[in-house]
Amino acid sequence: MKQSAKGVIICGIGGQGVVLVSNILTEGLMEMGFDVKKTEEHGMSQRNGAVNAQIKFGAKVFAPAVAKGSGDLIIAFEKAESLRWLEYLRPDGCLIVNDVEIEPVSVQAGKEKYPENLSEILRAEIADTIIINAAEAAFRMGTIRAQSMVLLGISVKKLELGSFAWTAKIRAMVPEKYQEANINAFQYGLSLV
Amino acid sequence: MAGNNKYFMMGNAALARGAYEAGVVFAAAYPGTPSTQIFENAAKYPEIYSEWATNEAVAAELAIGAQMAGVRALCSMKHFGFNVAADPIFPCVYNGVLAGLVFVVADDPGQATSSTEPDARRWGPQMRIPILEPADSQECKDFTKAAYEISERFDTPILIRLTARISHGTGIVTFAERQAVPIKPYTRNLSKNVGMSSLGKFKHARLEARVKDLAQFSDETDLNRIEWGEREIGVISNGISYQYVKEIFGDGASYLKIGFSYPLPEKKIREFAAGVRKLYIVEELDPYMEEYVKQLGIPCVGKEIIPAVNELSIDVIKEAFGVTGEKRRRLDIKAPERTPNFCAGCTHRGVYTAMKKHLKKVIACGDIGCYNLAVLPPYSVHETMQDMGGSIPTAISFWKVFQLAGRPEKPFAFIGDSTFFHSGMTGLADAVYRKANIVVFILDNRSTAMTGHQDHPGSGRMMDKTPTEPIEIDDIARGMGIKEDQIRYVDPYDLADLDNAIQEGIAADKLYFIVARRPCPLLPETRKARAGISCVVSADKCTNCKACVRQTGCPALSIAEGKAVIEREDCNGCGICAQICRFQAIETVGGLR
Repeated sequence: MKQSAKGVIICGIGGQGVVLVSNILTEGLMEMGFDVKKTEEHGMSQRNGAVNAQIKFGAKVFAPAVAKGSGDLIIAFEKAESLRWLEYLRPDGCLIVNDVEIEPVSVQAGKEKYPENLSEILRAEIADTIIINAAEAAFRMGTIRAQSMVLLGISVKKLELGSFAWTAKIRAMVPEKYQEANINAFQYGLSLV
Repeated sequence: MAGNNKYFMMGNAALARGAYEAGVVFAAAYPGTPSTQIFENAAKYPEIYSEWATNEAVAAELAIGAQMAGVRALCSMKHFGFNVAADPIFPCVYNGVLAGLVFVVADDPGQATSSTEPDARRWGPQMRIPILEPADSQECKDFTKAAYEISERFDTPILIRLTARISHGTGIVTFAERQAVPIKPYTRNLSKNVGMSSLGKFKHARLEARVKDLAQFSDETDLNRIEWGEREIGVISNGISYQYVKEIFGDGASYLKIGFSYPLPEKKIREFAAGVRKLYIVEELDPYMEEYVKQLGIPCVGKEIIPAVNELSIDVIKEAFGVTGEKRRRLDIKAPERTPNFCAGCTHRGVYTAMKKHLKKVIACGDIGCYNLAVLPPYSVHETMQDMGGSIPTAISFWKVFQLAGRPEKPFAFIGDSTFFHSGMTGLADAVYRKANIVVFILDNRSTAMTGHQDHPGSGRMMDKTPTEPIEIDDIARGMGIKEDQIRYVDPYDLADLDNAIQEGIAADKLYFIVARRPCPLLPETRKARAGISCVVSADKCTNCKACVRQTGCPALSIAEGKAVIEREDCNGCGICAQICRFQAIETVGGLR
């Protein structure tokens, strides 16, 4: 009953690049010869809602969704969003967290609290946790929008998919004026692991 | 894209590709999640004539007309839309087709974007319309091509039923060339194309005979497929549920995968049931297949263990079968809720901020669109929402019943532009005809915004963005006999004037028609026009009263280090927060270009 396909969950807030990264990753996986499936949830609001993409790849994939306790990798573009998906991670799975906190309306209005000391809690819970401020790194490289590529770089390394020509794929899938910043951000991500 | 004609595609896009390859020439639809991208992708093929329809009934009538005139046609919608479209589809099933006709309905198990979760397979036995159910993107394409063959072979329209996980799921799809399908010559055929009782009495008997032929086909076609594995457990399943059970049991069970689900394959079901020790039915929502199997007198386990509500998942099915799950991690801390909210610069924010002051004097009837979020905090304005166009009739009924009950609240109907064209016009005619003393509040943002900015008869643009004559909703109101002194225009970014208009509406002794018109801030042309405009906070004037954050719920606003902060990249300078601030701490900067 052990699933042979690998499972990746990407979660974050609308507008952060979750869908773009999931598209680049899945296109690359397909070109590498894997069977690939993906399922996405966008929520209702155009912006600022929780967004997620679940990806499975391997020799043969049936369901696109990842079962609880079976995910190999979670990429959280926003820190607290990782909490919604932790139970989908394998006990020895890897958690990549963007060190960015975006408070929803409920927190701004004082109705809920944003969890405190989250980085420490996540590190204590999951041995293979990587926490990085990708937004800051991307900003240094020219645009905060490239934060998603820092996270993609780390993920590709973690999933041992480094042999593929990812930079060409990124070039093909992001607008020309952001290409250099995105590729630099991706390579910075690769260098971190 | 990869070599060998392989593409990574969403189910909806793959279905559109299938229609393209099947030589489809005509497509019609009204947007609705999770079905919207079917039509949007079909429209990308220049060979397919595609314009958004005003509603799903019109879309269905257009598609039926197109095949009547001789070309293969596609018509897609979400499950609610099929209710609207059912009226023309019923007689079409009786009449049959000249050219292939495929309807697509996308269900939403789990109700991610719907107020109900009906099971569209019930339309099969109800209408006698054959149903196909693909289980991934490749099947979305292949089944669509098969659907056109079946439609023409059996002289019937056909229904492809998707669920959100198939519609929005993505997988690898292999492309083929487009088939050349010549236009079939139309000839006058009254008994086929006219739904008149005297011309149609024989059609019901013919329809029942067709269902028998289709039942035989259901047993023969590979769309229904037995996959033998271990025979201790046998599972009949369909769509995404099939993928889940396949992942859980692999070769450890046998499967009857149902891809053609009306009529169901009796012989194959009997053969499969006889070949396994214990038979299970795993399907989302209704026990549609289960009821059929039990009716055949075959013992099976279905909804005794498989939930009939919400979507299924690998974990839900594992639990139902008592399969131990993998070890998981669970923390006691939870992520804060991210409830949906109006975007920064939304034209609805001002309307509902102004409405909040008058809630005791009104009963606010809502409708379907982004503005349905006015039900939620921080606005909490709308009190009802039925269906597309339901706001105006609901308000009429509240007016009459509150009159009888001696209650003073004034009924307000809030309806957006696309919804008004879809099914608000008939309700407005009723309001005028009955002399209803209600306020109709038109939230005209020049777009079908909620489903992703589709055009409509009022937007002034066609599918390819070429201009067309926009129909103005206030002109429709005038045409219905609403007089100039009953029509009020208001800028949804002007809180003071909104407040006046609302008070006038409450005081009016006859129907009052308020039009708040401004294009959705996320439309590309609005973004361009307002680029560089934003609100800014003077930190020295901000008292940290948080009124702006709490009253607007604007995602561009937050509090940092005891002061209001505005994210200028998100803000478009609508100025609602500036009008709320009692300390003049917020101002709009950057002029209109």
